[in-house]
Amino acid sequence: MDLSESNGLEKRNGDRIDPQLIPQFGAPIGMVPVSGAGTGTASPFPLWPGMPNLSNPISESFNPGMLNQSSNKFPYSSVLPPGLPNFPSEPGFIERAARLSCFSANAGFNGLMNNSISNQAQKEELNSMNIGSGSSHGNQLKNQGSIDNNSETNEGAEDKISNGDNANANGDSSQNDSGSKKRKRTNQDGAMGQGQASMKSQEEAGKQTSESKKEVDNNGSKNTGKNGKDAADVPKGDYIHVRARRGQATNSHSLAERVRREKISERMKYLQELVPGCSKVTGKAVMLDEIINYVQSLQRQVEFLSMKLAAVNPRLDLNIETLLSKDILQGRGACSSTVGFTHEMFHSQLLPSQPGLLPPGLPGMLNPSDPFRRAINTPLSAMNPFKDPNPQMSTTWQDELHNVMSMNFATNPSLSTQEIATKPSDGFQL
Amino acid sequence: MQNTIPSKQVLLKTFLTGLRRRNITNKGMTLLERKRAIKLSADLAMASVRKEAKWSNALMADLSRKFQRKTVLPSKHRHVVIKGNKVSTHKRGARRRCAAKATAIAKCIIRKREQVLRRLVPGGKCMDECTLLDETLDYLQLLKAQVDVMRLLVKALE
Repeated sequence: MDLSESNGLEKRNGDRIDPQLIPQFGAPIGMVPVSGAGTGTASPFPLWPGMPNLSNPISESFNPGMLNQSSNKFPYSSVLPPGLPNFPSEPGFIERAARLSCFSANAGFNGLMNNSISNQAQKEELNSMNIGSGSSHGNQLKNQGSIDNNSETNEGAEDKISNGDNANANGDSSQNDSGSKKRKRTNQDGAMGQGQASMKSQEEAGKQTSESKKEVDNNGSKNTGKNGKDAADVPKGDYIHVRARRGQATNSHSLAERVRREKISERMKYLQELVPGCSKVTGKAVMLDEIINYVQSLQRQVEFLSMKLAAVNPRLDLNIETLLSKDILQGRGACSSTVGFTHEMFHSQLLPSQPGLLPPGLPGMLNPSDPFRRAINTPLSAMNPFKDPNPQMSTTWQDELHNVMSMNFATNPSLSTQEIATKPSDGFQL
Repeated sequence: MQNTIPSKQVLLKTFLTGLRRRNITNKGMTLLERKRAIKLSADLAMASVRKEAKWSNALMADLSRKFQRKTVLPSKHRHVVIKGNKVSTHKRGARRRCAAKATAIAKCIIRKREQVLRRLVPGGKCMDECTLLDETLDYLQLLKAQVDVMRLLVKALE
């Protein structure tokens, strides 16, 4: 591989970390493996600012050796594994190696390093350097991170490799123009796609600390300022790669939190459109209040309407068949006035005084839920001698539906005449 | 993220089929029983239209559990609410600055309301915040459609 050759630093025989490497690549790589505590900070950084293209060669030289030795995780020793063989000249392998370090090291490492760096430029260097940091460090950081190490497998290792490579490839070419602007984007590099499902579940568990990377966007979609982040699942890569914005904390935890917060605010916006009367409302608390009120009012409306339908019942049976056959949705327009009326009715919590609709003697109908249900459920449940035809709940949807239907069917006849009870229960057909 | 708005015709058809299945007649069933059956049909119709949503599965589970166990109350309250309010109160006591207090109080309020929302949306007790909002969105759409369908029905029957 060109990089490895041009660097001239890597030891093909897997020596200890070349001291010559350190000035070029800075302490993190040198310090990380040895200390094993991941706390090496501060000192190497002054060497960095002058160093372009820091990460890739080292990482690529590092990792393959470590990879060769690692089975599942990276059994990182304090020394570069002596078994570092001839440098694999396959580009793919090197890429994977680079990815490995990049992915695993980033989150915690950033958290550790960034705290001590105030200089933005240095931070960027650091960020790009993190890509190249050793996998051992990444291993420890991983433990600190949210990735569940217990479930890692070989597959997981390879995932990280691919991930690391991706970041390296990105970081390499675009380091020059990174400037001081950082953007958020999702990593759409397809190279990461393979077998990341195992990691995905851990990530999506909520914390994206370990997965948030600082990458420079080199796909040409560079925008100044803040990019919208794709909050949905990335089709190929399973990670959502987030970049810290300018002037904001680059702590992995705060990044993940920001991601979460943006997700939530995005959803709140959708809800704002859905709930009527919320367009002027700003702020989570008030929005939540409105949403709650709306959900409650809709649920009460359902209860009320079902009561209404029950009251209209004598004509219900006759009409069901006809309604099923013909399209009554044409009457939707005519309903608008009714809709408005009932809507206000509900909101003002007034009982409709139309005698034809409500049977008398039903006070408090508009707050029906709990006391009503209890009243209904008690007689029903107490008088149910019939067993459901299918006592076992199957997991599929249709089966559940069928069960509930038949259960209800079995329940009701116990309260009514025998004619109904003897009717066979059909499959529910939608 | 946004699912398609359910077709009201589908909803109506499902609803009516369920109603017919229950054989709602005016003999032998009191008003309350009928109402309950109607509501059950409505819930089932709603849930079956959107099968992939979490809330619909939770609703189905609730309904079937209601019948299987033959308990008086639907066992909605088995699950423990995930988040508590304790943190905010400590914060409120510890900090003196007005800004921090206001934020803490706001967070407390938000959390309380979030818990209420969890109780309202079926299956909301086991979701995280993001999912909760998603499911609320979905559930609201379906509820709206269901209410519209039932209104149509009432209107048609009058």
